[in-house]
Amino acid sequence: MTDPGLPQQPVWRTVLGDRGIGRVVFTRQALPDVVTVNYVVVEGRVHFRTAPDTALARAVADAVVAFNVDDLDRPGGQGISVTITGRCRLVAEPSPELHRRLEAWAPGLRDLFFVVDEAEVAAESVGV
Amino acid sequence: MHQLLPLSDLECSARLGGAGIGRVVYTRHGLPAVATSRYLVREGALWFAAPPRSPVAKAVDGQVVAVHADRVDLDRREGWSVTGVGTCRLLGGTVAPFDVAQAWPGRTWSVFSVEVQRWSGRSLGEPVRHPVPDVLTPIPAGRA
Repeated sequence: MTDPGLPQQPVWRTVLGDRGIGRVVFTRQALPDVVTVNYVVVEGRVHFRTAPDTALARAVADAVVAFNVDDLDRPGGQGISVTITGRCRLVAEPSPELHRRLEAWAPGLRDLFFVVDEAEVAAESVGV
Repeated sequence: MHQLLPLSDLECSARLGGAGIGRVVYTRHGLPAVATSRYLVREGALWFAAPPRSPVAKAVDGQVVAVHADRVDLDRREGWSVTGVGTCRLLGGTVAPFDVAQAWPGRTWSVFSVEVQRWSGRSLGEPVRHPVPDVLTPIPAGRA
């Protein structure tokens, strides 16, 4: 029996977790493009960071993006792929929590923080 | 801090071909969209399978798509990602250079080819290898 005091998390939330590896899918010069990033979830929203001189930074500010994460190693061989579609916004004043939890992996000044709004969430099962 | 290194076209093609499952990135109703997909690299072209009538199958014939795969270890902070961009065609009267039912068993698929015009790939924190590109070797005639 489910404890009514503990609301069930949707599956896509558990796949997303509180940090991980995801892909930002965006439009660059009218063509589809995608970049793998590390992300954290703060206040229920996906955040990632990048450097100002990247194609990603130039293309995604105030643009609609799709953010994809998946878990293809689930028991039973049935994977899940989750895609959040929404507007991507520059975080004007990144909080200390965001700075602490969302470390840059690669060299260079990756001091632009972006957040993805959740206009639409789709979860699909993937047979692997 | 790890070094982010670009991968050669050959290495991109070999890594993508070796991964087998990744994602197709496309445009749907003018917005960016993505579908997790199975794919193969054969005879210099990239092939992927999608369920017929799925959003991706309905959107990509004749369009430019990106096919992407990555393998990243979150704790070790190392891995790679590869993207191939090109024009996508639904497999119609032509025959794929492999047995589709054998490559993707279990259900009926729409099969698409992507003629990759641009590769891009990056490696983070791992030695860049120069693999033997056996995934690009054509299948002998008669087996296709």
